[in-house]
Formats: sequence, structure tokens, C-alpha cells
Amino acid sequence: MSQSIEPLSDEEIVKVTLREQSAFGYLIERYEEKLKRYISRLGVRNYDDQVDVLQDIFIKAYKNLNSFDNSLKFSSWIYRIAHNEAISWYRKQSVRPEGHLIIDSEEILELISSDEKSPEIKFDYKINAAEVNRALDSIEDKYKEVLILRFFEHKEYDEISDILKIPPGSVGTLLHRGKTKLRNELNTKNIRI
Amino acid sequence: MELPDNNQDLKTQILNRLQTESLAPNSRWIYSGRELLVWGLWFASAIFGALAVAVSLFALIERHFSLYEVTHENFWSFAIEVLPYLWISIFIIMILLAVYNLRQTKNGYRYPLWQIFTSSLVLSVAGGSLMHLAGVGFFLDNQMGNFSAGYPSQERIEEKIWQSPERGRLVGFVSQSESKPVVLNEVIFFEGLDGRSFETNISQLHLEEINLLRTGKKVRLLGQIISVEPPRFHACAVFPWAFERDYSMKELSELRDTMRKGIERLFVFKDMASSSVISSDLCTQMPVMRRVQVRPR
Repeated sequence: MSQSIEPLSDEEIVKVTLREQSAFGYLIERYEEKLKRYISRLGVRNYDDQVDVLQDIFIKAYKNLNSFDNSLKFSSWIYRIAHNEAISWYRKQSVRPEGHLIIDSEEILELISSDEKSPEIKFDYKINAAEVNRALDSIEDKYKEVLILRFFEHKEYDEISDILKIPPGSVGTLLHRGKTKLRNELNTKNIRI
Repeated sequence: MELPDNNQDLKTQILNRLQTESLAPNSRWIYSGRELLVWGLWFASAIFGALAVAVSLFALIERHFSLYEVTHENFWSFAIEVLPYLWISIFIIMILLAVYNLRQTKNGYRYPLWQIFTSSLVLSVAGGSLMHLAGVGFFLDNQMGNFSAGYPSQERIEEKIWQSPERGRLVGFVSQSESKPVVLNEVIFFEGLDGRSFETNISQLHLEEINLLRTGKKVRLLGQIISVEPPRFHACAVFPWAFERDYSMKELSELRDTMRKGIERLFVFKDMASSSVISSDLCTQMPVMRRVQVRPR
């Protein structure tokens, strides 16, 4: 079966999974690492916690497969579940999430600085990931979540809209404000941007 | 929650769990049913919002053409007293519910709040306007008034405002016990809504007002109370009741004009009174004479 399923799209595998449970394994394989990185960025940092949250994400996804809307990308749908589970997890912990960026700092910083409306702004590429991580943790969650999805998960505006269940227009606004806040935060740490 | 078994990969753990716990995807009917429920709640909110608009429009239009000069010092004191607060509150609640329910639909999050809010508002107002034109506002207000004694229907509010003999206003009928026909004689018995029968002087009424009394329909009297016991009243003008059916805006406007003219006629007496021809005329002493401005002739 593996040979016939592997080339299928996520959405097609969902249809197969509804007939044959084992096909769900392919979706787990495809998303395990991505979601692990994502929830880590959102604040689930301990390995055991990550395994627990990932299990919850996939079990919830499986139980709700019939609610998957084909007008969405499967990745948006499962990222939404992951986002909700991560939030629910750290609410249970009663702590403010502190994300852990697994990034290539120079590439990511370049991405953050590439404001289409202000191309003249130049970032100092020597800023390291730890500093960005601290700055990101200090801004409001609503900005942080959008920045993570856009710059670290490389999601498009529509995908972010579907994951966070907010209007696409709001994604743009949050990104713009988030970047400004992030720059200000880095500025206060005397990091030249 | 099972403890993670580090010897197994995540995929195996999850697939095992699905089998051991006999987990299966929830039926799609659960999601379809939920979606249907949310849309149903949205539709119900929109319909109730439209009904609230219909009754509010009926009330506001009815009030717009009311002869507030007779009952209140100015339009604002009148408006504050008679605004349909109940229906305006229901309308606001229904709009908020409609917005909330629309946001809960599968794709509701994709639209900005202002778009959802505006579309719900426009839909309810448009639907409510159509309902009002079809007479739904009047019907609902009227039926709720009949059904519940505590409901402040427009007719009930108007009765409360007009059934006030001490302020020179009466609502009622020519008494059934009145054996004589209503003619241009000077005294009739008029039964107010409080059940009291007022011996009423109608000597200053015009022929069309007498004719209105002759119909036996519910009418409003404007005048002065002479005595509380025995109840005696001096009538200066008679106006139709105008709550027995849904009047159009044109009809209400004409009715208001007629009522104003009925009051303006009294200024003739006032002029006469100033020339001491009828110095003790009761109609010229009504408070309303201060408030109603006579149009230039």
C-alpha cells in the first residue's frame, strides 16, 4: 500500500484514511517533525511534553477527520489543531509560553527585515537567534503567533488566516505591527536595525 | 494520557492507541449538524432582528406623526418617553447574536468583523422595513398587546398618554347609556378608559367633530376638566383614535394635519377671548394653546 499512497496529496490521504485507518500513519510521518518544531516555537519545549502534545494533536485530527474542509489545505487544518493544542497545553501549565526558535538566524532575520513597504530598512545580520528569541517572547502572543507562522513556518497569508481563524486582512495588519514591535524590542536591546 | 514509550516511534504509538482505544473519526453528521445549527441560529437572530426593526419602525413612524404638542412640552421630552426601548434593545441583542453566530460558521472567520456586522445590520433593517411595509410591525405590536397585559404596545402607550382628564385629555366612547342621539346639543356623556362617565360639554365642537362622535368609535377628546366629582368635562376638539388598523404614513400625516387644524381653529376663540367677547372661554386657557404655533395665514 505504501507505494500507492506515498505520491498522494495530504487531502487524498485523508480520504483514504477514512476507509483505512493505517493510512493515517503517512500523515503522521509527514507532519511529525514540522509540528514538533511548530509547537516548540510556540512554547512546548520539553521533549516529553512535545510527545504528549503531538499525540493529542494527531488523535484529535484523526477523530475530527470528517470535519476537514477540502477548501482548506490539510496543513492549515492540522496546524490549526496544533496551535489550539499548544495553547491549551500552556494554559494548563499556567505559564506564559516561551518559544524556542530553531532557526537559521541570518536567513530569518533577513526575512523579518524584508518589509516590502520599507526596503531601505536594513537589519544587522549579526544578531543571533537567541536575541531574536528573547525579543519575540517579549511581544504579545497575537503578534508572535503570526510572525512565527509567516517567517519560521513560511506560511502564506491565507494559510495563516485559516490556521489562526482570523480574516486575511488582519494577518497583514498583525504582521506589520508585529514586525514593528519586534524591531522596537530589538532596538531597546541596543541591537542596531 | 499514556506515557510516551521511547522505544516506539510516534506513528506506532498513535496507531496503536487508535486501535486499542477503538477510536474512529466522528460522524460527519455531527459537523454538518453543528454547521446547520449555527446557520439556523444566525437565521433566527436575523429574523428576530428584522421583527424588532419592523415593530420599531411602526412605533417610530407612529410617534413621528403623533400630536406631541398636545401631550408634551417639546418633541424631545415626548421622544424620550415613547421610544420603543424594548424593541431597540432586542434589535441590538439580535444583531450581536447574528454576528456571533456568523463568526461561528465554518468560514465565518474569513470576513472582517465590520463586514459581518454591516451585513447583519443591513439584512435585518432591510428585512424589517419590508415586514413593516407588509404590516407585520403593527400586527406583532397589536397581538402582543392583546396577549400580554404587561406589554407596552403603542396603543397602550397612547392610551396612557391620552387618558388623563386632569390634563385635559380623554380617550373613550360616547356612553352607551346615552339615549339621546349625538346632535349639536351642548351636553353628552363620554365614557373614559378608566370607566368614569364624564358629562361633557360639546358646544364648541365643529360639525365634523360631532360627526366623529356620532360614529360611536373610540376617539380622543381634548379640553378641560370642569369637576372630578361629578365628572364633568369641556370638549374643545375631537380626534380619531387611529390604532384600530395599520395606518400608512400618508394617512398618519393627514391625520396629524387634521388634528393640528382642529387645535388651530381654537385660536379663533382665543382671538375672540382677547377682545373680551368670550373672556371666560375654557378652550383658550388650555396649556396646549401655548405650545401649538399657528401657521401664518
